[in-house]
Amino acid sequence: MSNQVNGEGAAVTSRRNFLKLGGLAAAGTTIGAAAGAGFVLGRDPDANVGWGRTEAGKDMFFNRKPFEVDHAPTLEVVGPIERPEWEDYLFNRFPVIGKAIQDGWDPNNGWETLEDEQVKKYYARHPDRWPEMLQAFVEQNHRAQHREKHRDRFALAWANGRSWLKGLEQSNFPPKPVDHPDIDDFKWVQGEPAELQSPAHASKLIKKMVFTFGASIVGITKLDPAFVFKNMMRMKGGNRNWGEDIPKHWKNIIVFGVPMNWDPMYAAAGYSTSYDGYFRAKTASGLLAAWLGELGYAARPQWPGGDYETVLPPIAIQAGMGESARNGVLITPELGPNIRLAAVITNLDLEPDKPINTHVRAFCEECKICADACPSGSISKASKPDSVVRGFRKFAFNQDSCYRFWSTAPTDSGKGCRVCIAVCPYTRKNNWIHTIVKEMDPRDPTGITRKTLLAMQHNFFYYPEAEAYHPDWTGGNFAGYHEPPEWLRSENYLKVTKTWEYDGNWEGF
Amino acid sequence: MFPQSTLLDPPFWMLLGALQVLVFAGAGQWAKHVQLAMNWWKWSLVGGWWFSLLLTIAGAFTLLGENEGNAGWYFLGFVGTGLIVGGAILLKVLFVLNKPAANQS
Repeated sequence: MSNQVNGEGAAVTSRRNFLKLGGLAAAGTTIGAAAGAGFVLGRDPDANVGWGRTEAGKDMFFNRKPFEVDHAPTLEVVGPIERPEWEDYLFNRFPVIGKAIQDGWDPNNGWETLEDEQVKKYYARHPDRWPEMLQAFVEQNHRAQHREKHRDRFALAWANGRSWLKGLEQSNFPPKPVDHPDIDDFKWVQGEPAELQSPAHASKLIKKMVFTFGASIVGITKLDPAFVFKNMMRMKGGNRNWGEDIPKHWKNIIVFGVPMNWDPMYAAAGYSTSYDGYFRAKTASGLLAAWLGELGYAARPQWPGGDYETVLPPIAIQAGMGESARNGVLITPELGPNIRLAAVITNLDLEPDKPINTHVRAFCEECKICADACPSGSISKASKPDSVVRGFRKFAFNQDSCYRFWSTAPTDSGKGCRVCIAVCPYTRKNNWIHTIVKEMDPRDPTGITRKTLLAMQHNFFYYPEAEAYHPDWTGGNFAGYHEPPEWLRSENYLKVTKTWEYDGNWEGF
Repeated sequence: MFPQSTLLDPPFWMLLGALQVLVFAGAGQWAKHVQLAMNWWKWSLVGGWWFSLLLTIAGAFTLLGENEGNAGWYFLGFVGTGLIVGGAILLKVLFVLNKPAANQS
């Protein structure tokens, strides 16, 4: 009996000891598992919005319904609304100036001596921007002289960017419009229009098709003339001298976007490219135009880099995709500003989306990270929007000085920078730690979440100095917000000798 | 890469959940060992602290995983230190609150 009691006592002690020691071991294992799982989730390609869940529409995971408003807070009207002019678009001005220089015109004589009246009109309104545009041409020459010395370092990045560019420029889908829009926009129409059950049904189906065609975020709105260029219409021979008419069949616009590949984008400027986003957005616009034509409706696709009659970011804001950022681009809840837009204008009756208010303006007013990081100082650092553009209150932005740095940057084509996009705290992957914040901040009326997040952003995160993003021939060290991904480091794959160090965020080990 | 594996991912999270039973069973034995009288709200505080610690570690390593090295270590250092201090205070409070209960028995 005594032995039996002793035996039971020993068993109880043994079980207790097992639980005590087992519990400690389990706690240690859990901590290790939390660290390991966290690291893997940070690496997880499933967090790359736009790469895997697109067709199911699951890239657009943020529920916009609670944030719908009648008027977009970042499209505040404070003066008479003016439509954009042909010359407001930099890629209309730039080739005109370039050709004038080629033909013997001396830019040092000043913009007043240019023959092109529309370009002159732009610089008469913004004379302070002319030196920046001139400097862009100078920087392009510098870039051409120095770029090849760095080919070993950037070979894979440039090959990546230029492959997408080839795809963008060489493919004829969708074809550029050549006829009057009353003809060209109907070129794919097959018979009488199919009758949809209602505009709501049409919008629902259109969105499904946009996701199916590869876009991550979509919105629909009535086409607002405020964002349709004057004197600009793509036709055979160019896009000028159209007048102010807007075709009658341009009723609604479906606007959508895709992200640029995340890891090269984070390594802006030198390792990044926009052309992957452009290529995918362009292709989706062609597919949607073809689909609308099959159902008997007009379609006018708008696609990047320059095939537009409309200004897409404010249209995307009206369509509830996001809001306007300090740097003037669209911020979406899912992708931040890492989105490349395309659109299709149509005569199909659609139910429009409403704009949203996720308090991006309050965030941008306090953040200023993009303005501090901008290698050309093109983004306003004011605490409140300090400019009025065609009747809308915005933060000031100098597109000519921005372009000057594009011409400086060690990218594949000298046509981009993307540093302001990479450093934006909204440009974060869809992993749990960022998505919790993205869901909490718009719902927090006290602003505590925003202030806490920004305190961490400003103090915990590493941002290279603005000058560091420059190439070495203008005093920088080719910094990126992140170091380049493994697959863009030429020393990992090519027979090259690594003679450089990286400056940017890394995994921390 | 595990636990992104289609096959291993679900068992990983199930095992991690099961381990928490052992963690709290062990914690119960330790509480008895040091004669801590625990009740539901004390266990809630301990559980909340444990969950916060795990989230902080996982959050820091998520940042490291996505190449935000600075942010990951700073986050672990600042928030983790705060949690360790908070945990020590919680333990002290549990012992202080334990005295009257021990006298009554």
